[in-house]
Amino acid sequence: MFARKLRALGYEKGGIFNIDDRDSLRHLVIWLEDRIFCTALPKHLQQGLRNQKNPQWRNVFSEYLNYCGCPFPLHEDASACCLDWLLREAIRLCVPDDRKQPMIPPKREKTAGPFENIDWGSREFYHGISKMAAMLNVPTHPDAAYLLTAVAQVLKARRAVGMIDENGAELDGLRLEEVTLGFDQQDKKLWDACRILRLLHIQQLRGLQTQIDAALVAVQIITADPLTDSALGRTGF
Amino acid sequence: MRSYEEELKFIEKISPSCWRIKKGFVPNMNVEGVFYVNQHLETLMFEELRNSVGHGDGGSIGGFLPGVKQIANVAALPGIVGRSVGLPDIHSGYGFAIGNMAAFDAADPLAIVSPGGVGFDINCGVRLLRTNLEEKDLLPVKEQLTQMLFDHIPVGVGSKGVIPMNAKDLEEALEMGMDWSLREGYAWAEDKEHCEEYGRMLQADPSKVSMRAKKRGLPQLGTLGAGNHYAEIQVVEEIYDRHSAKVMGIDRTGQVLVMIHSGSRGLGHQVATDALVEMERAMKRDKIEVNDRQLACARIHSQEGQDYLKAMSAAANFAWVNRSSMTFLTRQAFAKMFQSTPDDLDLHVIYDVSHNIAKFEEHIVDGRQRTLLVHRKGATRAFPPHHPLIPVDYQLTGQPVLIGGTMGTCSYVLTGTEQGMLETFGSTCHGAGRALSRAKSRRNLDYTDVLAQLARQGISIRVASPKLVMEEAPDSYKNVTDVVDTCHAAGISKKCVKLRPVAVIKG
Repeated sequence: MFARKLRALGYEKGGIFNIDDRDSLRHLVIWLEDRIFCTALPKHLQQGLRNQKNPQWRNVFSEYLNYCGCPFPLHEDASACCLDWLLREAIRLCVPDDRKQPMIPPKREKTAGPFENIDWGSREFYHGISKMAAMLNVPTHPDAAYLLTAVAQVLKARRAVGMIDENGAELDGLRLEEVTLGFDQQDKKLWDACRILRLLHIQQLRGLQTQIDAALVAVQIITADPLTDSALGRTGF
Repeated sequence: MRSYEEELKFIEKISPSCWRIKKGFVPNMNVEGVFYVNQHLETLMFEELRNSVGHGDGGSIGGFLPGVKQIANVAALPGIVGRSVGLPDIHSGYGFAIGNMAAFDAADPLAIVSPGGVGFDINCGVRLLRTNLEEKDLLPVKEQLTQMLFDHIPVGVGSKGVIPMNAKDLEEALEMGMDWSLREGYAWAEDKEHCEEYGRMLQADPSKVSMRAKKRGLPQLGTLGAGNHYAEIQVVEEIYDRHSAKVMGIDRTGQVLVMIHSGSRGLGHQVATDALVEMERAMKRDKIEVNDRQLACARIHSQEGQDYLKAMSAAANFAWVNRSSMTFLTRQAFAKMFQSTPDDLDLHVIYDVSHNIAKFEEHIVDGRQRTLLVHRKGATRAFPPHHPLIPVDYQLTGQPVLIGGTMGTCSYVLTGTEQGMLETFGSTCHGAGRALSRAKSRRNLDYTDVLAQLARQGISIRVASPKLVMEEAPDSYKNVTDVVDTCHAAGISKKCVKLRPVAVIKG
């Protein structure tokens, strides 16, 4: 099950690798650490891992995995899972892909972002967010966090409309009462609620479709290679 | 034999634009027939019937029965439900009239599938691309752009495509449809979203397509073909429904659009031909009785029926790959001409419809939801707003329906309606529909006159065979405006945008 991954990584003993063989596994783990990860390990881990004859090697390996942020615990029958995870991480590091951050080293210093120093409860913050809400015609609310969520949602929706606008799918000039639903309802309020629900549902579907499109585009980056050869073509008659 | 007056007793006007064909007009009718015409088209329709009376062979002229008879013969096929529907652009075709839709109950063991109800050009259809260009941007470079499009898209009988393809690619394309184009990078993700069936019939099975069909199809991928197929640069002439047009990305008159009308080329034709042979055998075995031997068919669930549906789906996939490939070439031509990228030119697919196809769909019949095999031959699917099978962008407007005109005449974009869903199983017209047969057109018209007329209208044209132009001359066809107005008046679809051609390339 690891042959292709090992070949991709250029592991010379990939052809004869056997996960059940103790030495084989230890050799591979050390090879991965030395050649690919080069993690800044604490001294005891660094030495313990490299000593293949160490009777406690498995415990060291378990600690190592933990240190690297492996999501799987190293049980008796879970070596394959852990090793597969290590190999995937290694491939991730080897294959240049600027969209993904390497998982190792996992322990990073928390950086102070622009929102780190905001005092959410301050009068100043509430005042600012109220001003924004007023500009966007969002009804006010005493809880600043609540108001911020509403403002964020409106902004996100506005941006979405802007994006749809580029594709020509804006709800331009269509009033709520002009939205037909294919069924009838006497109660005006219930009727409006149905329309709003339906519009929200369509918005949600649009979001899903956009995600699907993005996934397709991501795959196209790998598979697409359109070619035209005008020498092949011939106009008829 | 009945006189013309006696024939007329079976035909009754039920609304200003709709006529009913009563049972008994032809033998064994299981359901009634219906057709939609306005006053002008009505004259053509009844003239055709009058001319057929007195002819031997059941009124067949030149091998084809008049449209009204064909609608009625389809109503006599086993398993048909609702009504056999004739749309305003109806004209005689092989078995089924072109512009005829009929639905068969998939749960009925006797119900049939008929290649004649799909047509020879399987998944012939229309695709519309929009641009952010205006007519004034186009005029100075119109001739060069037309030439460039003509250089990029191979046209005509026997034309060969420019997209390198081997037998394995073809197998994959037949199975995957537009997913193949996407994978290979000829299409955008958004193209798939705005395409009927998302550009892929899932039941397609390339192994049911004969070697002969594949051999015919392989070199033809990405070619326009001949006949009534074309690629046209059009401008928006009039917007009737501002909101729906805006949703499609059409927001002003003079905006430039590109329409591509093409199908599955020789591959689809061969699939249909192969199936007809098989079905004649199946008809004898299963003792299926039909009024016209052109209505060759097989039970939906028989081996022949299933094989045809799988092969037809593969041919449909081929047609989508074909239109996608031509979209790719169009984008290249525009990008070169305007020294920009297709993205910056906003060359998005508005929609892609198929007007020669049979599909399983869910419909309400007699108050009950049923799975039907809907045959649309020269008829376009027109689903109403909120239908789950139309793209999310068109959920509020209804499915865009693309009606291609003929060389030099207008085209239209319509939208599907609830009424269409109830009356015609969500179907509407597909184009102008022939008024003169091809042979008659060749006799009556001169191609130099036709070309001169187009030049007077300011339409650039590039054709692979000028002598075939008269077959496709506007005079050979019904007036597309009459056709569209009838559908609008009957409420089976709604007018949205009118388009005017400025440049045409043809086979």
